[in-house]
Amino acid sequence: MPFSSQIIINSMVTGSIYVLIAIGLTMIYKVLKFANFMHAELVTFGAYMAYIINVSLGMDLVYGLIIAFLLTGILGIITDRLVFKKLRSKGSDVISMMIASIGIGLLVRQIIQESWGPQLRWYEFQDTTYDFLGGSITGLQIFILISSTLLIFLLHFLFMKTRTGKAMRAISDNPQLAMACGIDTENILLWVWFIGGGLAGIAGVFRGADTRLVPLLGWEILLPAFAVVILGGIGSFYGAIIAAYVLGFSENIGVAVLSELSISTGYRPAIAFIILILVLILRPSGIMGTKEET
Amino acid sequence: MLTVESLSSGYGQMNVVNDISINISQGEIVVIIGPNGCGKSTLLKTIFGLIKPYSGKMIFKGEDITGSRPFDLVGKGMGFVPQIDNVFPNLSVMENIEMGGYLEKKPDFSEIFDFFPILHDKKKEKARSLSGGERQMLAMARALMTRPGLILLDEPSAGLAPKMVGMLMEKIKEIGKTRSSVILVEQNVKSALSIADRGYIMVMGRKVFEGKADEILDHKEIGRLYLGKKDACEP
Ligand SMILES: Nc1ncnc2c1ncn2[C@@H]1O[C@H](COP(=O)(O)OP(=O)(O)OP(=O)(O)O)[C@@H](O)[C@H]1O
Ligand SMILES: [Mg+2]
Repeated sequence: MPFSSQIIINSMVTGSIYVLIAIGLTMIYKVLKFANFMHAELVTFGAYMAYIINVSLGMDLVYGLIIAFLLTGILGIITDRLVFKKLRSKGSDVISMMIASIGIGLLVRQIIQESWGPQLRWYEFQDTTYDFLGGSITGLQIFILISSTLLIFLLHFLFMKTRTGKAMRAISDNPQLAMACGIDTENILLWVWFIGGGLAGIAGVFRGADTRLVPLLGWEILLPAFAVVILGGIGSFYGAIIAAYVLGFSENIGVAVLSELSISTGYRPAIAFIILILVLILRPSGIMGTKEET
Repeated sequence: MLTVESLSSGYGQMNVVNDISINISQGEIVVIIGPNGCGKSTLLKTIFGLIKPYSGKMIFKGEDITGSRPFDLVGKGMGFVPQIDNVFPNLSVMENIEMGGYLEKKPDFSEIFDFFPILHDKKKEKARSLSGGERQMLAMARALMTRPGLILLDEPSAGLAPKMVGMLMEKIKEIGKTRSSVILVEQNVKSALSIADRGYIMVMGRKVFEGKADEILDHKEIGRLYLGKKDACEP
């Protein structure tokens, strides 16, 4: 039966991971105005950085998570400095930026594939399973749910209450005027990349821990992540949060329905596609439907 | 305060500002008038470093600022209120003003709200929900927060009701007296000249006249040629 408590738990976990990816995508989109296709590879990169700490160096996965956040954030900054900043100063359009992001994504994915090979890998950690309202939830899943909720509140605080966060919103609204205020936009962009990238890294570790590691880890969830961003109303931070859970539920309920009907659950990725197409047809402006929202 | 010498600029191949020289001293209000599309906004944008000049020289507070970026000019004490998109629409009124004071160690918000009391009552509202006049006030308040020695205002009264125009001009006059030199680009020629010390007339990217504000107001020929109809000299 589709509405079991297990489905709710699974949906919330899926949604939590999508949230972290979608927020980063949205942040970068809001200030730089392009869809960052290499975001998928930031997710994968984070997952493998934690693998180095956790498995290669034999440390606790929590350290892996922290290092993944930092290193992925730094990778975001580095790619911006090496590529996107140059494109910006040449006045390149968003299409060039998007294509560049696809290119860098391919490069990063290839490097990961070369370094770790295509085989499946797993983190090493002890997990406990708890009974929860007739379903079961693992310690890891509880951790994922709580920490992504905390991160959402932290980001809300960042955007609404801090000087840097307000400057991010100002740049997103009107970059020229932000400069006229004396805001060092290039400096703020570094923070956008660091936080957006770092969140992708965390999402990668969560996904890797909840399922397994493969070089296509991030690529597999890029489409749902884009679906979340579009469903939420492109560029809407709060829309993306709601949409992430909507998609999490749709996927998990969809999978349950598919198996009820004895259809292969291999169709799971198609669910995001179908939702994406339905939204584009029925409500192109997304859940938070106004054109320019925060 | 600011001296602009034989400045030329434009967009790519399209030359818009042609060999313009203007200057403004401390505490002065100088108005730039001219028909639509003659390059007034382009001139201001070039002074503020948003557009690179082809040639010419700009001296601000004794320092050569030719080719300086907006970010640096703000630090040196220049403020700019663009003609369009001059507020952050999705930020609240308060946040807009905070962004104005971004570089200030201890921004004085109460002082700016004393100067623009209307804004105080709308502190929490998003800037995009403001009326035209309120929006212009906010744009000025934001720019004044950087405590500029010179502020460039691009058509602050455009599209406002006559009563509002008068009120805004009074504010600008006060800004000129107590806060900052003002370069004012305006279409409301009479009201602008009535608060200004001097004026320049620009036609098709060139300076065609300069003089004291009342001189321009009284000048028969100029009045007929350039000020009678807004679009008299549309190229
Ligand atoms: N970003 C731009 N790219 C190319 N051409 C531009 C751009 N902005 C303005 N122009 C052109 O430059 C010329 C001068 O424009 P500008 O905005 O400086 O005039 P203006 O005197 O401020 O006019 P208005 O009174 O309508 O504000 C116009 O012919 C305009 O079409
Ligand atoms: Mg103009």
